[in-house]
Amino acid sequence: MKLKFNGLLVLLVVLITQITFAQERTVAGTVTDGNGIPIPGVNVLIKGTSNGVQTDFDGKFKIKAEAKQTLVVSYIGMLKQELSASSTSLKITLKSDATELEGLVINVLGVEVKKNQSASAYSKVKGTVLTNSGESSLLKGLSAKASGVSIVSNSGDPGSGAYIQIRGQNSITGSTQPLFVVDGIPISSDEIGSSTQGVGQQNRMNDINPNDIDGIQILKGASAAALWGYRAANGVVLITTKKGKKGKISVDVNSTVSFDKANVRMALQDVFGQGSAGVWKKNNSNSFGDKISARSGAADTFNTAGAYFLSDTGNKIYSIATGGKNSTANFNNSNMDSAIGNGSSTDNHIGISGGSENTNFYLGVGNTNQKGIVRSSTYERTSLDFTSQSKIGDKTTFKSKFGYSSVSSNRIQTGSNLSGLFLGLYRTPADFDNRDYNGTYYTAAGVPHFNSQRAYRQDIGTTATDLNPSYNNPLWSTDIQKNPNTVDRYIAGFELKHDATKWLSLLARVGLDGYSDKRITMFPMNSSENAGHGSANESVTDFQQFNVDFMALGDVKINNDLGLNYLAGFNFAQTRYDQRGGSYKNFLIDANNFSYDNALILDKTTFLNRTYSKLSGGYFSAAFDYKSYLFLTLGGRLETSSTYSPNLKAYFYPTAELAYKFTKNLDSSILTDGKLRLTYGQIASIPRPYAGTTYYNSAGGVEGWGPGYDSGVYAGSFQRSAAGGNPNLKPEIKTEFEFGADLEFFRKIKINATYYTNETKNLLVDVPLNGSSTFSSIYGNFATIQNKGIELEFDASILSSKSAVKWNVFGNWSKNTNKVTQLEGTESLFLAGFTGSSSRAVLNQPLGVLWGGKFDRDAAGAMILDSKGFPTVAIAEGVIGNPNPDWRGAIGTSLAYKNFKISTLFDASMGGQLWDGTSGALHNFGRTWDTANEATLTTPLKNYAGSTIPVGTIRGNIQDFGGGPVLLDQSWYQSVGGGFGPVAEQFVKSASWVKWRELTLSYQLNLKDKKILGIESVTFSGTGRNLWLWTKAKDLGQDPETNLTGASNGRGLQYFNSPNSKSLLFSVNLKF
Amino acid sequence: MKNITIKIASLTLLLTTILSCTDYVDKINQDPDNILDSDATNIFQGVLLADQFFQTSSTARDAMIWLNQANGEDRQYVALNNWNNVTASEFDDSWNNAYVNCITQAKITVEKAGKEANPNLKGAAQVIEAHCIGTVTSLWGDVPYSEIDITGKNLTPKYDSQASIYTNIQKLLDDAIVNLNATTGAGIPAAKDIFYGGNPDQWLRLAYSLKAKFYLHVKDYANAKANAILGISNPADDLKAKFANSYGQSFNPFYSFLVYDRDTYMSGDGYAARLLDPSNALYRGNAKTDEAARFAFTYNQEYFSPYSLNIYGGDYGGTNGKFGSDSAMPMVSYGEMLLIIAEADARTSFAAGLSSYNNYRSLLNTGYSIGINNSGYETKIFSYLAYDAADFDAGGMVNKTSISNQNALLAEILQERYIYFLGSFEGFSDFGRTNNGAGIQLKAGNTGSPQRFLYPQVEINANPNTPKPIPTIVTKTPVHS
Repeated sequence: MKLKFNGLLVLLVVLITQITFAQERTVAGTVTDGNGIPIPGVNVLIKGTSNGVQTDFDGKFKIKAEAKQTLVVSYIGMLKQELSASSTSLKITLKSDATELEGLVINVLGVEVKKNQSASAYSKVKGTVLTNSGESSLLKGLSAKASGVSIVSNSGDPGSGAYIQIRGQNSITGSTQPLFVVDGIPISSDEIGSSTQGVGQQNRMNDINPNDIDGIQILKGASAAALWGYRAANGVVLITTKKGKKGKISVDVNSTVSFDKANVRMALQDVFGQGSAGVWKKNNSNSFGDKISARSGAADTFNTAGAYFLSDTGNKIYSIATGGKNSTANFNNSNMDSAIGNGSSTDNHIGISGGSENTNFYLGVGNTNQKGIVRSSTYERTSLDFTSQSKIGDKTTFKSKFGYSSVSSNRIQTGSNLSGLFLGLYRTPADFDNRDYNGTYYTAAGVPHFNSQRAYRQDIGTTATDLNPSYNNPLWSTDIQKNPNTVDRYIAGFELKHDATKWLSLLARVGLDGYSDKRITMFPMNSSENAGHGSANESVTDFQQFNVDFMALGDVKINNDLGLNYLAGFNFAQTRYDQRGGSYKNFLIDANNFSYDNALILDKTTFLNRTYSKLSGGYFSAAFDYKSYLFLTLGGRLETSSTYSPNLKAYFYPTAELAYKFTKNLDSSILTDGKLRLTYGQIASIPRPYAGTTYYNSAGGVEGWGPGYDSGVYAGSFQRSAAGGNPNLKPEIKTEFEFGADLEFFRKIKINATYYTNETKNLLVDVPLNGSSTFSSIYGNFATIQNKGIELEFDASILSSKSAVKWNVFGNWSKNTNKVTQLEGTESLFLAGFTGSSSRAVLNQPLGVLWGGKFDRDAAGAMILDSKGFPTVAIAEGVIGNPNPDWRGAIGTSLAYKNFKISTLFDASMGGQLWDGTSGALHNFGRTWDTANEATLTTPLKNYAGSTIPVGTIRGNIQDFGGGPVLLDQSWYQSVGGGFGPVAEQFVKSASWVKWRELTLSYQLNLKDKKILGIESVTFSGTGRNLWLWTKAKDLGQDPETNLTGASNGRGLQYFNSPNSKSLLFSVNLKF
Repeated sequence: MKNITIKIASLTLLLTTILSCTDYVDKINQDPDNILDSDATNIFQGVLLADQFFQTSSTARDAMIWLNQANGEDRQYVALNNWNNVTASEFDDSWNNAYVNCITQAKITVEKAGKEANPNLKGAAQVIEAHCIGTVTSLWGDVPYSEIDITGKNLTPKYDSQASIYTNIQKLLDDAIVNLNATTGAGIPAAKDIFYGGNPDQWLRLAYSLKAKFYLHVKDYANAKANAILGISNPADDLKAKFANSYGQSFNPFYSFLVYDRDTYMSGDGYAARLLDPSNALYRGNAKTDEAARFAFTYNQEYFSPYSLNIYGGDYGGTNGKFGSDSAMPMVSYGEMLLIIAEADARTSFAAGLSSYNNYRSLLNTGYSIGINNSGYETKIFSYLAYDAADFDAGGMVNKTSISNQNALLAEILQERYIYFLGSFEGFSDFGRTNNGAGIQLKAGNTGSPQRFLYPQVEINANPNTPKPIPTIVTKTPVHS
């Protein structure tokens, strides 16, 4: 349907262009500056007419002109050039106009200004790079594209979020995510609800269609971001969307189809069947049963006199009789394939732009429809992006923007979740067939129980008296449970700019961003959730924020040698969350549509969370320019926020930047350009709202294993909140120094290098308190962390600029070290994870270290063994690993010849560890290959249970912990040696990986002279993403680049994470 | 002219915005969805619920497993069968439930009830505080108490000696008794009092019962007996944790864990089940004792063979077993008082002990504590006839190993306590106090025996006063060593 619509539109546009511009031909060109750097936004006008265009992000333009006409190329700060349009392909180099400063760029506040020399490091990413990545998510498309920017995908689920971190973690419990700004409008990158269980969460940045993006600048340093205030404490990602250009209407149609599959498939043993102690046992949770190949191979014998399950597909399934398991059939692969298979997506986008002398516009309409690799998971996004610019008179410009996205998805329960997909899937023994998951259970007497769920621990389905399957059949999780979600996202903004005099422009702008996120989760009866009695919840999050700036800016020429570029302004912003919803459980009727009527009143609950905050601030920046080689920028922001109340104060954050272009008077053909940069900046993060007060809550409590109580079902009661309020909250303040150099050699090789060091003090932390304090936690300024690191980016053209072959090699490398240097009130702080294995902040350790139970060791570090020769357990938990990589890097190359282009990108993260909880848990169930080893004993050995195992071949591993060889078998893996035992240490593994992230081949067919349907060019491209993965740890079975707890501050946790995906994409781009 | 207008306009704008800078953000930083304070009446019930949850949730199951009254069967609970495998974080929830949800809120109730001139309510809150901190010190030994500060000014209280805490608890209960005897004030709110419906006399008897319980903990048997006599004197006054049929809200935590949360984790397998099982060689029954009903009430074969914990009840169906969703769990009881008297007597004289113990057996013989209505379980047989002195003679019915009759009687009383207190912390405390006088057969192959709980990880992390290194689980608490 979508394709048809696109086709019609194309035809329509084609007709119009045919009629209007049939007699002209296209002149294409590239405009660069003296250093060969493309200049965007250059005006190209046909002399004597009002027809004109502007160059794009790559400095490229296309214009319809007759051969005898003359083109006028002009740009502020550059000398105007006139040249004949006789050639259809032009290379134009504009010379700097000594009498004017350099041209328009986007400043840190997202405002177009004349170029000022920034001393702080930033990375630029072109919009086409995002779309070429083949990711429908903007965040994931940024992976490996910039130094010092680490992006970790939560999972391969359609629409799932990603974690973005610039220069290491700067906050412990606050946001570590940068501020995203689209055309001057700060927008939300919320990822609400990520935890160890539930559905994979979307990041609201995914609402932005990458096809509408012209370019991205990532401001990494505190000094660059400081003008945005506290929201930019983790850097700023400035996104510029496509704009209209003067001239005829141009249309860009892009269609992509993608085929996806899991990039790593969990390898699980298929040698031993269901059961325990080497004996097959139906409904047993383990795969410690008999050896499947040792069975007779005859058909299983069934108890046909007993109860049975009649599946929806018509199969009648009886329980296997005692001793009746004979079949050697193996379902390890079919079980896996039925749940995680092939995904696909289609992406269609039309961009229309055009403009006259005074007005231009861009309209982008796109649709992405994705079917995930996990069965029944879907994601569909329809987006619209409209921008326009108008000139009102000589001195006033008005810009407007409107963006809307509609997202709908169905997501699958995953993570540490009995009703999730992966617990049931990975734990299902190889000899149990998961098909036939839904049907009717009949007692021996023929009494039916409808909608019964059949799973490996309920071999003939759940019954009227036992509705609980323990673990869901994975297909029940994907097909019967529903988690529909819809999001409406709108972004709108207006900007009015008046150039009052040469040295003063006044600018006012308003940005609005909002979304409404509606979610439903349905666990029908016979699901594991709520022991099979049914449970459902729904919620709506209404988010709205606005941001208003008034600023004055301009250029002042102090004398012939010294110029000043200044900016001063005020900023007001407000953020509002209204979250509400409810839940009900213990369904009256076994119905799967969401209806609050389907439960007793006592089984229904509602909630309301309103979180409002405001900020106001004033800022200034003064950039001095001495003879165009020495630049000094001084700035600052005075800011306050509602969340400081009742201790409301305004705080001032200064910045200073110095840049020295030392090649100004150096005439070298080797070092063709060079700049040294030095910056200092401070930036704050604010406390979370409402934390200044201790409240009274409804009395209730829970314990970690699940049980809980609630006074609301008794006579109602309150308790003073276990979370203490703190009236003395201050901002977290990050102070950063940065030193760097931008070098260019032979006019071909560009290298940017930056060293930074920063310290964030007064970090706001929820310190878990000892119960004897009368609180279980208190929020306050209790910690300090330091980050320091190096960032390198390079881009080299290998061949001469005159060569027909364009060959570029580019890459980036970064290293960040991080340390918690102060932590008050507690020795370690839980960030995310589980009770026995978590990611924490620990004093004098890198942030996010893995924490958990350890083996007991003596002072020399040797394991303390028990009398049987097995290790013992240390009482206290401690640091067991570090998820922070030693370095990250990416290298890519692109080769272009005529109309062919090939590019590829490799990406690596080295060092760092993760906690492989998946493997730990599966050890317990005997599903890992480790536990399926068969060892030959030449002397009798003890197992963990203390039994002496005689000589012979037996399932298990022989190991010597230092007290002589012992046998690791079921008794070990289900106790201290398994993931449910107290020792998490043994499941910490290397997280190093290398990825072949992208390979793109494209061919552009130039049709501009052929006049076929008005098409100027057709580009075909094929992209492979995540084509190959190397991991240092060979037994992960999962992509280490996923995280259980999403964009939370806890890192390095693997526990039945959804797999990541790899894809092949084919796209066609038509330009009219 | 135009420029000047703009300049003036912008200047005015700037000035007004500077002035309104903090006004703009002020007074919106209190959560609109939360309440700022409460009176004593509306905190009181939360204190009761917190106490009963603490007494019946996670670590109560641990104690059962370690005393071989239950068995870990799956995942984390398998490793837990060996008490040496437990780590400090297992105790976080239990500890914080006791300190934050119970003791802190009880102290807030005491303070507010004082301001509201309601001595009865103050007294009732003091009784619960005593019950909770007394249980805490019995399990953990030296713990913070005297420096607990509800104003939040001292977040790291010191650890008091266990003996001094027991002394302070007696003083607290004496004060509670004075308050409960007062005749002024609005009284205990009946609707909020899930235990006694606002009856101060019943609270008074509970206060004496707790005095008896905690004197027993420190082996002051004379005072234990004296207070037990003033304590709960009929089954209707038993302090029982009250549960109903709503998951996550009012379920018996045992049931919630065994059926809803972790349905294969814990079985009833162990020494206790074998003591009660008439078909087992370890069966404790004899010509005068038939445990069939008590066995059926406590254990069955619903989930595990040979022994599941009996989870029948309102939510599951069937006749309420001991661990049913809405089965009330006894915390302080008439039977306990009779057992305290019996033990105190038996320690001074065989004859007096036997007579007191027979008083208890005659209560059991009415079906007391078997079934949720104190009337036995279904139609199962029970019998607890009075013992004769001869039954305790060497080789007698309850002295198979030929020890002195007084020791045989004491061992019998302690074994009865092991069964009677199944599912509560009291049996764990007995084990340490009496050096396993009940002769419990623990799970084999583990080093040492479980004497106390580990200080929780939250305390190790955040309170520098926590003893270092923390005592191991096999270290006796001070009053037991």
